Amino acid sequence: MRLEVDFVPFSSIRQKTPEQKVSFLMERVTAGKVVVIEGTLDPEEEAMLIKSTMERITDEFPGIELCTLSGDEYRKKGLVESIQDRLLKALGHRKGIVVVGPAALIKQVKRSPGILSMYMETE
Amino acid sequence: MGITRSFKLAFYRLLKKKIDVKLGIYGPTNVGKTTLANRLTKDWVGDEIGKVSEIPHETREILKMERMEVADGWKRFRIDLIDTPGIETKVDYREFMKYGLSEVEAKRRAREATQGVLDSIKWLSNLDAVLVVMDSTVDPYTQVNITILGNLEARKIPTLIVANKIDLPTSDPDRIRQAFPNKRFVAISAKEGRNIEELYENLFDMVIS
Repeated sequence: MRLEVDFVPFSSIRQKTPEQKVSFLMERVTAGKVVVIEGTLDPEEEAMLIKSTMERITDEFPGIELCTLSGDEYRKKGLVESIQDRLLKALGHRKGIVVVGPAALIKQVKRSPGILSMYMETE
Repeated sequence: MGITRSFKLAFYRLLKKKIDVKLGIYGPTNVGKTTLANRLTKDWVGDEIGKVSEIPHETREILKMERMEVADGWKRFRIDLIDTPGIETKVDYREFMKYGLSEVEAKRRAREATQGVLDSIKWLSNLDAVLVVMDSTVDPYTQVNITILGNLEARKIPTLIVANKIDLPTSDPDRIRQAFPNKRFVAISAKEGRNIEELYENLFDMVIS
């Protein structure tokens, strides 16, 4: 089986609405691709992606593996750092990466605050 | 204690008014959400809310126990408990067949499970407080946990992380505390009832703050 990975810079999805982002991802993942996006998704967008996945589950498409990694989302932050983060977010800056792929392909995901490891198996 | 909270408490105390709380239980599959819900409803009204099983997605529809009257000192609560199906990003019927289910049963369970996940997500916006249950024997730093916590934070819903299964020898609740250091946290065994009083203290404190 051939493995296809799409790398997407944040600038390509910056203008998209949450619905457009979700359909952009689902279109590729249901076609068997792994998508790596620069930046992160909002928690609401993640929930929307899970919802959309559940609506499309079939015997052949059992779902997705989704991983967002910013490295410091649940690190304890000081007041200045928190304000700085909010300001950057308001300005559209999203540090981190998102990886989404078909669950039939990605067999295991291991994550720690700084590293994301995915184990894939192709037939 | 903040001024608003003091006024709110004085108001409820004066009018002997009950504090209405719509309390959700969230988490991935097989972390003990329904075991915890059963522990709470048995303590509060003497009845269980649902059936538990080792097969994932045993709870596939929203379970509700409404208008339970609970007292904590002079504070009176009227609690609607909502036990939700586990949230996952994948549902593969073949996984259920490993537990001895036939293909037909497994496929039906998978269909119901996907609907359950959709219902859980839909309910996220209708709650006053949430217990996010995690299995303290496994790595808590999963996407499902991160997505649930992120959504509750975005909706400003008070959240208490419940590290469950501390009765098991491989339990490591500190790993959960360290993974989410900014969150309220309590470590319990819903099965054995360990630390349940501590959970109640945290829960009641959270809903009136």
